[in-house]
Amino acid sequence: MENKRTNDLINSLCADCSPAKKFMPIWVSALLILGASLFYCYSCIAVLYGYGNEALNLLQSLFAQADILTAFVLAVTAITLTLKSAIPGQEHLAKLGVKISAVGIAALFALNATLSNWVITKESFIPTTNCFLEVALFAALPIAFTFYLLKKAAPTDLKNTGRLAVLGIMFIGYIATRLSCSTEANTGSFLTHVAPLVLYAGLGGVIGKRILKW
Amino acid sequence: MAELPLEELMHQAQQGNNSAYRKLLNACLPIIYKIVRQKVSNENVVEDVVQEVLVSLHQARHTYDPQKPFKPWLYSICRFRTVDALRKIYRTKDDIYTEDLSGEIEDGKKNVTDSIEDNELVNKMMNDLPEKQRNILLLMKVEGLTAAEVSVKTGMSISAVKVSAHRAMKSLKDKWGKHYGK
Repeated sequence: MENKRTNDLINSLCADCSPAKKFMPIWVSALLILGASLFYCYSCIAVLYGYGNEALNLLQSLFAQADILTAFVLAVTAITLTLKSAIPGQEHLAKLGVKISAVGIAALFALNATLSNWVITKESFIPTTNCFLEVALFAALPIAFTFYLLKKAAPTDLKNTGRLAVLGIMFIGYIATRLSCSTEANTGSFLTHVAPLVLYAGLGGVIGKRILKW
Repeated sequence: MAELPLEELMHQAQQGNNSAYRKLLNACLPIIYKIVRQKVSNENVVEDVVQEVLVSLHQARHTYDPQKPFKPWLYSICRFRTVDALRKIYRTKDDIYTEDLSGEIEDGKKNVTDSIEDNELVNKMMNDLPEKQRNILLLMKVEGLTAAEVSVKTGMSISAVKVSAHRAMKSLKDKWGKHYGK
């Protein structure tokens, strides 16, 4: 049984029925986010470590290539799924993306453990705070930009969309940290590069629930 | 003239066609009511949630892809707003239970000691309550147990205890009001 208020609301919504603004295609949004993130991370590395950063020599090692490629694929997957999940009816993609990212993090661990010169010393178990803060620095502005684009959509699973958005950008931050942190992989550096992904993703869920409301 | 499918109506509405939009909203209304009523029983709250869904549909209409089915898109918005409303209800209901119950305790004490007639009326009203509600009310009001303690004693969840207590108090209040013509 409809009531008068509902009928009045329908009348006013119909009166306000202007042509809906065009929704940016997902692939355009994804390219924008990836491009902005990579440019921002490169700028951060250039400012912090200089253009002649010797860490770029890391790219010659198979470990670094595999590590960076895996992280990049995960970033593209996470960002695309985040944007798709922000459309009503496709929110299940956010949960799927979080699960894929979890498997991806396990894959990064496997790569670090098998392809690198896995150095185990007592120092390697002492995580440094630099990388913890660096990966957040490399991701901060791109995450803000991603949330800005997500707010233009209509996400219905705010927590997982927020988590996945942060994870996607953090994978780019992981790449930047790998390039700027020129030490060989060891337990300590792996922990400080990967642990932030998990921690900040949790924070992304909390932030998503507040910021992505519409 | 054959009715257009919802997908086509929505596509036309996205292009600014008022009459298509009106047809679409009227066609969606029974669907929205059905989904909301599955989770929400209070009719006033149902109306509020239905209106929020309509507004959300309006705000999010630019996100709908005409190549895809319309109903999953609509269901998702309905579920989102319904869950939102339920969260608000459960958050505020805790306060309502605490306020209502403490208020009723004071009123009840004052009224019961006023006259034998009132005392007998309260006893009759308590006996008319369903057994579960009566037991919970006696445990909380007479024996002074908290909702958590009642939940342990009865094996019910704390929220079920609170819901039962609230319904019992409401029922007593309504009967009291009817008796005294309020």
